[in-house]
Amino acid sequence: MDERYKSQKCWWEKSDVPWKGEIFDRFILTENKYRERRIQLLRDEIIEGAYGKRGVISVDRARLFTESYKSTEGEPAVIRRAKAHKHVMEHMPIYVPTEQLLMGYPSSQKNGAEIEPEYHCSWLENIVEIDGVKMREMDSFPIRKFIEFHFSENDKKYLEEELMPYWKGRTLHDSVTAELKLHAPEALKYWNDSFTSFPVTRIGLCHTIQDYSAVVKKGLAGFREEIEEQLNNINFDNISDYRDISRADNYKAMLIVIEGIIAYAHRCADIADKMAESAPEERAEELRQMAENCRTVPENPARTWWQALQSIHFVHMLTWLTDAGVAHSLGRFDIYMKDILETDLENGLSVEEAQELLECFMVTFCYRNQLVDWRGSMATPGWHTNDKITIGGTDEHGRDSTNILSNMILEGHAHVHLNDPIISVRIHNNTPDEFLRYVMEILRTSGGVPQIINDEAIIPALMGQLGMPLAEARNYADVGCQENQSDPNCSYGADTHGHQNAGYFNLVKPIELALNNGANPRNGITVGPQTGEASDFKTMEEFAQAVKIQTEYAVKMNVIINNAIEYCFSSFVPTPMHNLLHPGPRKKGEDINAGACRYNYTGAIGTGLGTAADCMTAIEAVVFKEKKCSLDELVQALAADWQGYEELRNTCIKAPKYGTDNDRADSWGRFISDTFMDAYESHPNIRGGKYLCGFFSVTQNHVLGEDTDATPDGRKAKEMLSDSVSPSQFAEALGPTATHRSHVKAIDTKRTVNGITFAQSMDLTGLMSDRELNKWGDFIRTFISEGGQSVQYNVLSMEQLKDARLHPEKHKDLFVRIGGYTARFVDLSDTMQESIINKAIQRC
Amino acid sequence: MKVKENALIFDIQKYSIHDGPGIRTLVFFKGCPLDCQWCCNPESQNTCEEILFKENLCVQCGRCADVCPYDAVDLTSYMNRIDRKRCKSCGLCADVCNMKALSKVGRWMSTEQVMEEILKDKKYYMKSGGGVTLSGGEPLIWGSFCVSLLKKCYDMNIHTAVETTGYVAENTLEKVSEYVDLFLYDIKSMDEKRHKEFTGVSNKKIIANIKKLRNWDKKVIMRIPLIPGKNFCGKELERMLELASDIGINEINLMPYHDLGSVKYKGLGRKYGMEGTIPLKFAKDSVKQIQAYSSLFKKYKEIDIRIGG
Repeated sequence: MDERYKSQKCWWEKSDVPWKGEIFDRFILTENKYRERRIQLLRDEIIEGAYGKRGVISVDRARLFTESYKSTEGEPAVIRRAKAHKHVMEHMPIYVPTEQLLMGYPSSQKNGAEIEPEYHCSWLENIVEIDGVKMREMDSFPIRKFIEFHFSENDKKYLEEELMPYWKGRTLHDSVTAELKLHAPEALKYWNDSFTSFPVTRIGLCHTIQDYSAVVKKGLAGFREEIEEQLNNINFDNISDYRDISRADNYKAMLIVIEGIIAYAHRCADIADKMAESAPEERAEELRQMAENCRTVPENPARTWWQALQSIHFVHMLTWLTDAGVAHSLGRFDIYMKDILETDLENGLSVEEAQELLECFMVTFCYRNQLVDWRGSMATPGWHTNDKITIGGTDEHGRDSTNILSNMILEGHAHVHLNDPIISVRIHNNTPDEFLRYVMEILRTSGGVPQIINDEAIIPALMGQLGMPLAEARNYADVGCQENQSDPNCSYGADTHGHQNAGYFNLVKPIELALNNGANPRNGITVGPQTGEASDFKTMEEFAQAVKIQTEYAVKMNVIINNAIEYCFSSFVPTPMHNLLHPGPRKKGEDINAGACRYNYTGAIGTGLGTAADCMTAIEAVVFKEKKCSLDELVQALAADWQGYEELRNTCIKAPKYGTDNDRADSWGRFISDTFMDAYESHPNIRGGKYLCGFFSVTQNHVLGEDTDATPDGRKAKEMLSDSVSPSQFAEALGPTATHRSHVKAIDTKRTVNGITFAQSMDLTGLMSDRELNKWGDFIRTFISEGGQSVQYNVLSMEQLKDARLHPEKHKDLFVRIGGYTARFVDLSDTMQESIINKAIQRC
Repeated sequence: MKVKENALIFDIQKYSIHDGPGIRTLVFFKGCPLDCQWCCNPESQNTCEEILFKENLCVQCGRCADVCPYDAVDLTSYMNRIDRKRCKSCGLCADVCNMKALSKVGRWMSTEQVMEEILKDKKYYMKSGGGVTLSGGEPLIWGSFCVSLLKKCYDMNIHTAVETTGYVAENTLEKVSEYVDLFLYDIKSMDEKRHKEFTGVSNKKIIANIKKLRNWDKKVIMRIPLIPGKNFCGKELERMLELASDIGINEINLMPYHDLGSVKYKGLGRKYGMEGTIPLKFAKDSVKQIQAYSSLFKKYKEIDIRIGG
């Protein structure tokens, strides 16, 4: 064992996870190496800090951004954005995590969450009721149960007296509201009153794969040259198309952003040099190399593995800091980074050093913190970006493309073991058994990552839905929860703007509206079409038709809102940072929100599929087949939240349920999913693309459940909806083959480009031997060949979960995957913890 | 209600990975001629429908008592919630129980109904080399049902296994074995007297039958439950291994004792005969305890002896 960081323990040394298997035997780094102990030190800083319930709110980014905005009134929107970004990058205080090998941090403070007032600011003043006390959102930050966010009195004063008054009426959210008032007041009303879906206006542009490989290879200097050339072609004395002026603005804005990024990198270099002056020699040497790296990249092409990672980290973290947003994913990292790794290894880089640097890079994904509102914080503490790395899969000729870097990333994930980055593993019919085995061995250490995604379903979906050529489809990667898109790093120029969150859509709400003649029972307001009183429906088909009409109307309203959001993005908050880092916008000089990428779709998300399917099944069985009650009576029972209708509720609970491989329930699942997809796919989006769907919930099934009355499946008012495409809590647990088959039967995965998350708990005790592991492998392969789109396995033991509830302090490393993102078990709300434990109990 | 061709099934369990090769569907038949003290599925023993009570789920709503036509529910007692003498297992109480604290164990099913469930996972069997395992209880007391079900599986190219006590008539065994790819055959004791003491029946037929199966050249895995204080001793193990070796069995599964079924005895209003015995399966030194016999195991190199299925 070497000397440096000798007292540092590795997380698995403090845990009883099965740290064994073939990939473990091949690990490059072990707890005996100081390089690995450094990673654990960086990791502990995150675990004890950000996860230690002590978040800090920083207003530095907001202050700098606003300063700039005040000084640029009257200039073109994109130039104002670019100047504000540059101003932030030139002046933002830079925090340097102890012993990190990469420079750049997305907040001015350790564990800081920055505010982005330009998107939505007034929400901070919205009133929430907490334990009977009404208060503003911003006052709730320090008293939040899971993670307290504190800010200084001065900062709070600044926020109240300067920041919020300035942004009043000037934010993206304000523009969207104004547009809707002007053109579609009915959509605005529906948005507020129907509780059907919640389109997002509070954060920046999300869900991207930027062309990192071009940054590594060409450097921003190379970009600058290309942009200047384009700019030179626009002569102001000879313009026949007014859009050329807007293009010129966009080019200029990108050049301003380049200056900002380089300035930030050079400031990092100066800080590293300064720190080297007083550091112990071995650290000083690292710091001097880091300074040199920051002076080289991202301005110039990276010459080494270290510089390549530094270069990507800069643009990645500066995207967080400037444009913000989440789910900025890395794409097929194991493909496009393989060459520079191998070259550097040939040039004398040791494989241990390479692994250490990779893990330093992976740790940086947890440096970003995000403020969420009270309601959101009840379901999820908010520490996640869902930024992904996709590995495995095939090359553009269909040959398996797993390589040394794929294994290094798996090792990195095992060692770093935090909630971000999420690793997605592409599995196809010819994935080597050995690789699948490695994946399962890593899954066994808990955390639900890697997520398994299926090439055999997703590649045809991309070809069919987006007209993507086979070679580009084979280079796909996923972002965020599981949204699929082209990867410009591997298919050059094939960039995507998928605007992959049109707002979580409550699939149960249209059923509720159909039962109540278009009225939302939560507030009594008639929002949807009047499809008839419950007593009018004579057959199940008639009722199903009403659900279809309600769904179509709700989707139409959602589309109107999203069109307004995208229009306002491109008009009022254009994104020069993303334009620079996407080949299409960079070349064309057009905004990414105006359709400059090669592929343009808008991603819709259905939540609560299981509950919705069960509602339809129960209505069919109880009302129309067995005639146990009239539909009218059922509506009364729901309005009474089943009070006085226990008998009826019991009958409804016993109706067939989705997730038990029951044909009736699964075919109602198919009705719900097809109706939803048909409705969205009938609309174009404003970028010449179309709306495509996916099914997942993150934790929104809890939030949307709060807005939903009692439902015909037996669920009581305000209880959560079913999670992602998993069965509801009423479905009998018939084991994984039943749930997997229901998923495949209920959803046409050749259509779901916008992704599916499917969480399945597996009992650790049944996965310990080689034989058990191989059976699980065959199980996964069958699911793949049946056309399942994705699955994430939480490998847990019930004892572990129960102990974690009693002794949270002992289980800081217990991660679970919930419908599309990863969270620390001990950070979850009581109801979330309970639902996870219940799933585990059902399984035993 | 009972149709002659139907059998009483108490569970169909999917993704079973410990009872034969690959991923399997287990069909549990109700009724058993043996009465093993350590039985972990007491609900499998009687050849009739029964009401099972799970006290931890009960909220004392009393609806079960309201509907019972035989006045067999005693809300004041947890241990004897159901008066077994009065109860006719009609299942009305289970129907109205919202908490699923009461359930009716055992469902009369036709071979078609069972087949429908088996076929659902056919793709999972094909990929993993799995199939169907008939278990119980003693499945072979439902002889003609099993023959017809197994033949259907055989015809559909689904691998078949039967987990049996071996306490069955020879001609039934012969008929069934035509459609069985693998027998998981329990041997509980080689000593007739002790066997009778532990299980209520003699082991003569059992030992004779396993020999017959091997004579007919059927593949057999011998399963030995390791019960502390009962059969878990060198003498027993030695004789069992000797038998296996004699008749050319090349795989033995050792099944360490556990008490996970004990709570179900309570729910059925019965007494658990093994109260106080420490489960071998979860004992920290269980592997060590079993390894104590490794020199014995080594004598039979040709036999793959493993813990668990």
